[in-house]
Amino acid sequence: MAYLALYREWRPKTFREMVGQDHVRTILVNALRQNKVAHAYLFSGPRGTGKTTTAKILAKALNCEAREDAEPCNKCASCREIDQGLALDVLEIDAASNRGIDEIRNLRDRVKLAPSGGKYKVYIIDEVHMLTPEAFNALLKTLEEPPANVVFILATTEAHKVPLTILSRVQRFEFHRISAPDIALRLKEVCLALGREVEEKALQVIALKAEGGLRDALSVLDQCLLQEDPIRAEHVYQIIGMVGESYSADLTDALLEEDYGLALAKLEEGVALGRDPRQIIKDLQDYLRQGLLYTAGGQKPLLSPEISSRLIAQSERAGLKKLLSWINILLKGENELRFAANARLAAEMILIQAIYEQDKGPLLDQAGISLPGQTFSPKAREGKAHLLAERKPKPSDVKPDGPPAKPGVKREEALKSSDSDLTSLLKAKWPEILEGVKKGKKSTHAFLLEGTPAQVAGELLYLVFKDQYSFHRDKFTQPENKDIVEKVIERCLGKKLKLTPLLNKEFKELAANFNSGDVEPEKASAENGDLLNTKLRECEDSCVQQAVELFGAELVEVKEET
Amino acid sequence: MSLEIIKKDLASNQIPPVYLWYGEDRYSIAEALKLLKDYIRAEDPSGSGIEVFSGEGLVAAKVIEAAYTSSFFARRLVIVDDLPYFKKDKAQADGNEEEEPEADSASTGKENEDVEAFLAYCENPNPATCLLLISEKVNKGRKLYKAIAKAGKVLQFSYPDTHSEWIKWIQKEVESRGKKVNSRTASFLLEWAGHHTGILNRELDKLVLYIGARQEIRQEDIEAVCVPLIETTIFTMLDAIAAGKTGVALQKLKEVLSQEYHLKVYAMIVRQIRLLLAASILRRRGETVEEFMKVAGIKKIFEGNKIYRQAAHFAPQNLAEALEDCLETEIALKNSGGNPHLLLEMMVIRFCQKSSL
Repeated sequence: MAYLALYREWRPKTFREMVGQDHVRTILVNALRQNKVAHAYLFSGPRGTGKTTTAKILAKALNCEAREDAEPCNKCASCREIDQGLALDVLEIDAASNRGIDEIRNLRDRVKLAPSGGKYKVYIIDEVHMLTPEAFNALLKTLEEPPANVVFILATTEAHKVPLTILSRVQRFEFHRISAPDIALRLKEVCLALGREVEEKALQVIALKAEGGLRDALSVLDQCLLQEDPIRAEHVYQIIGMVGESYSADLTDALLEEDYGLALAKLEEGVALGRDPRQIIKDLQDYLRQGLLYTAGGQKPLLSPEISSRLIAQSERAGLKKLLSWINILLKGENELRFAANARLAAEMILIQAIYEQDKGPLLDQAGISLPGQTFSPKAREGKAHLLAERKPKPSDVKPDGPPAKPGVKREEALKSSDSDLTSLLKAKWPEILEGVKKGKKSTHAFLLEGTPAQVAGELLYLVFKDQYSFHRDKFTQPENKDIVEKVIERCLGKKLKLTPLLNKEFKELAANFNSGDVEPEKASAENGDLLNTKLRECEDSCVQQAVELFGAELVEVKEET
Repeated sequence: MSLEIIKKDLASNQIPPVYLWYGEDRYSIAEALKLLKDYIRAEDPSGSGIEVFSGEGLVAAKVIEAAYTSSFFARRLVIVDDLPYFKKDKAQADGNEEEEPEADSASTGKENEDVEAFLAYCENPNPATCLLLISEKVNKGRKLYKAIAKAGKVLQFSYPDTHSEWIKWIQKEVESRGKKVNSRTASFLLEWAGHHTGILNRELDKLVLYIGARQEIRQEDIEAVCVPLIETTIFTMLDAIAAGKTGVALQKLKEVLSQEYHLKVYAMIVRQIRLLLAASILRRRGETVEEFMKVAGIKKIFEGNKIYRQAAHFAPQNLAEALEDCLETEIALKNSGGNPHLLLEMMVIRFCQKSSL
């Protein structure tokens, strides 16, 4: 007899034998017991999780002549016919190759005919998401008014492609990925039954790599069994092609040690073995991604046990920040590698850059050099933004919602030497400056609209925002907004000024700290704040402040009744 | 509920000669239709008395002819699915010649004749026939509507309006299946599976089978059996991000990405953050939920309420920064800047870092 693939030979034949999917089994068994089988089901979930298997068991159970409780007997004629695919009443349709309206119309016409021998006619429509919209509509009509004794079982890996109208007509079951221990258990069962000797560790590696699909796991095992006993984890590595992982682990070590020589030697070694530098970088990226997911989210890496523990140790040593920055560099590099004439040189550059930037900050900014495409590519901007985002807030940064940083002494001194001529010139030119900023960056312009240039003092320009506009103020502590405004001012006034964004109350406080006739805090307040805000500012009580934040502010006058 | 009225009509054997069913709840309409057809089939199992016309290319004369035909065995049921006459606005359809665009005049003229034919039928309907007109929308000011209401019955099939009506609906459906559910769990189911009567009905079927002999449905049953809406998963993910639970957030992201195209997932995350930003700013200004819903263009009150409530946990600053980060990610996504799943994962990780600062 021809050899039957393991996953076919070991396909479960009863509900009891099913691995995982307890929720599906419970409902179907109860439905069979209570005779409440729905007329249409949709089984969705990743491949190899048991959709078609369940459909077949259900079909058998429905038509079985000697059903034991809810389980099919697997002995009667009907069960055997279904197993062999000969049953007239169980029709398996592959929707991927029968996706048109004509096929469904055909089906509709035949649905009306009574079952030939069995109790139920069961239609198993696989890959149902491949149907055309018209075919779905035709199927919907049948699902809305199905003849008695017909059960539809639709199976798909992509349930989101099935229209809502169909979904509301079927009982939908989501098949989950099968857990790695469950898969390993099943594999062991198979090995024992076959009398083969396979290392426990090898089974674990297969189970992890199958990512929840039992069929994939059995296929890999099938391949492994071609080798001589005992079968070890190394055999599995070879078959799945996991050699790259230990190589990536070595490269990561070089990155961690900040050892340029080691990294380059490793790369050399890989290239000498005939590996593509692009693939090396891609594998390293995948490997680091697993580390990132472990560090950030505690997800167990999908690697063999040894490499897994190595990766865990490495990522704990590196920390999230380094991992993110490495991946950023690799992502950027991957894009460049695609177009690089000399892939090896580019790969070397990427590795060196990754080591160099670890503690010395971005290579490009420091040395003023730029790799092709990096100055203008959005990727480069992204990379910088990431570094910014990762940067720990410096003391000079204004905290988002906390109390504003106390104005330093330096500012006060500067304020004393305020320059009223320049202030009025700046105010006169402000609309022009706004226009200039608008051309530069629209969003900066939008934020700047809320600010008023209050005072020029020495090199500093005080940009004052209303008290509730702390968000806008903070925007101008960021270099991407600040720089634009400063450049435009320099162009308009011919003088370089440093932008100092403040809230109205901060500015008033600053002005009050020294009594100079030049500052007009009252005026600024009249410009920026209304009566409500002045009143609010007077409320020292933090409870009141909190209440205002929660419920909003409204000025009410309470009159006592006389 | 209109379904109840129909059940009563059937039970008391008082089927009006003309029915007009309308509303967005197609599922309940289909359920009602099934009841009505079953009733007719009980009298005449051959089903020969049932005739169905589709709204597209409808010829009124044929429908009316079918309605006036007497049936041999039992009552006749003439169904017009998707009646086209209420689709145009009143001025055009009522034959206001001045506003009528010329190109349409021929078809509108024919439609007017057809409407006239139905009006005439409503004056003098065949008592042995039930003429069922199904339409998505109606216009209560129209002559046709008034004529049908006079000759027969007009029933609306709409989704429950408020949250408490939905809860009541679920509880009633569960009771009809001989089980119980408290309002908290019902509310959970609603958020989990979505506001759709058809889907909820199927989920309840499953739940009832799943719990077996037990009387009450619990939250863990729903989690085990029901298919969560992708929005539910996204909400869980966003909640996890807000709480700095990177692990949960990444896991949910993976689930979402397995079901949806990455740019769509990205767009959903951005939409959510944008709504949260709008809500958090309006909240700070002391505006009401209604105001927020108006600004953000949200129609459903429960959705507005939920976002408004969630927004309390975020500072506008953080959300604005998150949006900027989204932009960077989008640029990378659209410039083949790497594996999309990895880019989204990194975006989520950075959010979580931010919220845990």
